[in-house]
Amino acid sequence: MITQQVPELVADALVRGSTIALLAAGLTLVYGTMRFANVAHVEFATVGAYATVSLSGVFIVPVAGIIGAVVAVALGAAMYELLFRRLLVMGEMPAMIGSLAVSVVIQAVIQLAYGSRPRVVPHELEQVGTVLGAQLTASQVQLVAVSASALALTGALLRWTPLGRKVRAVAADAELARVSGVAERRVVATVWAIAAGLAAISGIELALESSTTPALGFNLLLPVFSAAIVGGLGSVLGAVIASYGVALLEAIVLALDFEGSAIPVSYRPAIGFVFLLLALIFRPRGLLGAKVRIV
Amino acid sequence: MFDYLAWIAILVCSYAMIAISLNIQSGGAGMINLGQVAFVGIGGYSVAIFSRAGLGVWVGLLAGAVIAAGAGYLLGRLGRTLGGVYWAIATLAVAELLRLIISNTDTVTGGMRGLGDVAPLWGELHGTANTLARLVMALAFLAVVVLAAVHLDRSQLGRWLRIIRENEPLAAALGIDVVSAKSRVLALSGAAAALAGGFHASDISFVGPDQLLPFQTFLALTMIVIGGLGRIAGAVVGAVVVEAIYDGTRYFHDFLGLASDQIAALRILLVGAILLGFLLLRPKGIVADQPRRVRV
Repeated sequence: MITQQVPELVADALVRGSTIALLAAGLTLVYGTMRFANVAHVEFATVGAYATVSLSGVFIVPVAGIIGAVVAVALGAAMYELLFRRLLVMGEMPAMIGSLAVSVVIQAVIQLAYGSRPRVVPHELEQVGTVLGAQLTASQVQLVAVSASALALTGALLRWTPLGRKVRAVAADAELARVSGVAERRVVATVWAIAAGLAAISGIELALESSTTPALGFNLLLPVFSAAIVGGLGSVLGAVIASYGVALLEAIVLALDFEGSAIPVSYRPAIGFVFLLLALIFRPRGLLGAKVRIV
Repeated sequence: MFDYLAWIAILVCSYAMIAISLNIQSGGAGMINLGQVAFVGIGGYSVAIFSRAGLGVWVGLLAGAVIAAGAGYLLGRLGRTLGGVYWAIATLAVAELLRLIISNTDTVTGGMRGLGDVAPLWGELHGTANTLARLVMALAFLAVVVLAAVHLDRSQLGRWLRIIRENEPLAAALGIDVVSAKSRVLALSGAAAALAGGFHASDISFVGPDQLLPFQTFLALTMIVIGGLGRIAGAVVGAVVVEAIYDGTRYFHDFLGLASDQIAALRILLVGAILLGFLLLRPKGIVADQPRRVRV
């Protein structure tokens, strides 16, 4: 019935889930602090990836990656300050349409500068190793490890630092936080920077693992939104769990075999959509969403 | 030159229909639909499939409108009262799902290659007569959609939708069945978009999955924002402006010396930048929607 071994399925889900989780965590974090789902969020991954690819000729790859992430972080903070802070005052609809426009513009700029063909970071052919019974390349292991550490770091930041406490205060009640002396605007700008950074890490790791195209981020939009919505918009832990959930579901569905007629790999994104639609119909508030917590 | 202008004018008519269909949802009812192109696709593919099966284009056009209306109604019922973001993403997901299915079912839809040889609505004509017939047909289709939208705007349902847009809890408190009103407007909007899609497919004699890319919905969204959300005239003005910019610049590579994918990117960039500019500087659009008295 299922054509793949369990270790293969888990490895597949881990690699894909790590990519999605980094993006979904940032998306949900921004939503939590300003009640706005940024469609252009996935473009931070593309920007980070392209910055890294184009700088990898100048610097060694880790340095290029760090600069790539910094570029995305700066873009995130600037985008909030110059654009979305103003659009959100007008309402949810202009902000949503605006974020779609930003997404389209960023993709167009990248295609204009780099063309539509896939770009890769020059590297040597990797050998596939066996980790606990699953076939993985070194860069896939790196992707999972980097992603897990970045997520853990973000979690710790939110949980234990003064900044994290402010973020959670703004998320719980922005007005109350403001009158209690929290500099809301600076906190939200920081959240945008963190979210953009996480997204950039995802894009950079993805570019190192395979290649990058102008649609790198946009192709992840629906799985990322499914994960963030299923996890409950605003809940970072929920988003991370749901990301690995969506990824595992994808791996299992693709491995299904009904007497010779398997589901083609090209249907991969559809699994996320269906998951999302079912979630929207039956659990629109998400798995861990919308609970009031004391900060 | 006449052919080129006529070609642009026909495209403007097709897009104006799509923009109006999106406008009665987004402008009229305040629902952001990022997957409107799905209805266009239903119309286009139904015309193509019916005409190739020898059942006639007009039957296909009608069938497309009916199927799209049914799909819209169902979507409204399923979506119930999903708020802004959730609704926008759900519609995008539905449209992408449709595009994926169409790209992967080679036998019925031609898969990635699409379907050619779609019969024209107007029989076989040649030369200038053909161009004129197509232009007249495009204007006639647009007129039908405009009249329907004007009628909706003045109807009981149109007034209810405005109240829902401004204040959904108030609408519910006034005894308006919000889910039913939204489902009905989606059905109408779906049928209008399917007419546009069917007309376009028959006009260019081709449908393909690339016509269902989310960017098409984005173009229509740009048109209604630039024109002025909620105004029928705004949607038409927006369609003229955006088409002039988007398809009027199609041949610029002749003197810019860029690769074709780069020039495509430049045109998209132009549309996106103009939309952002309007959102920031003139969010009400060219033809601003004024507050009106509503009698309940």
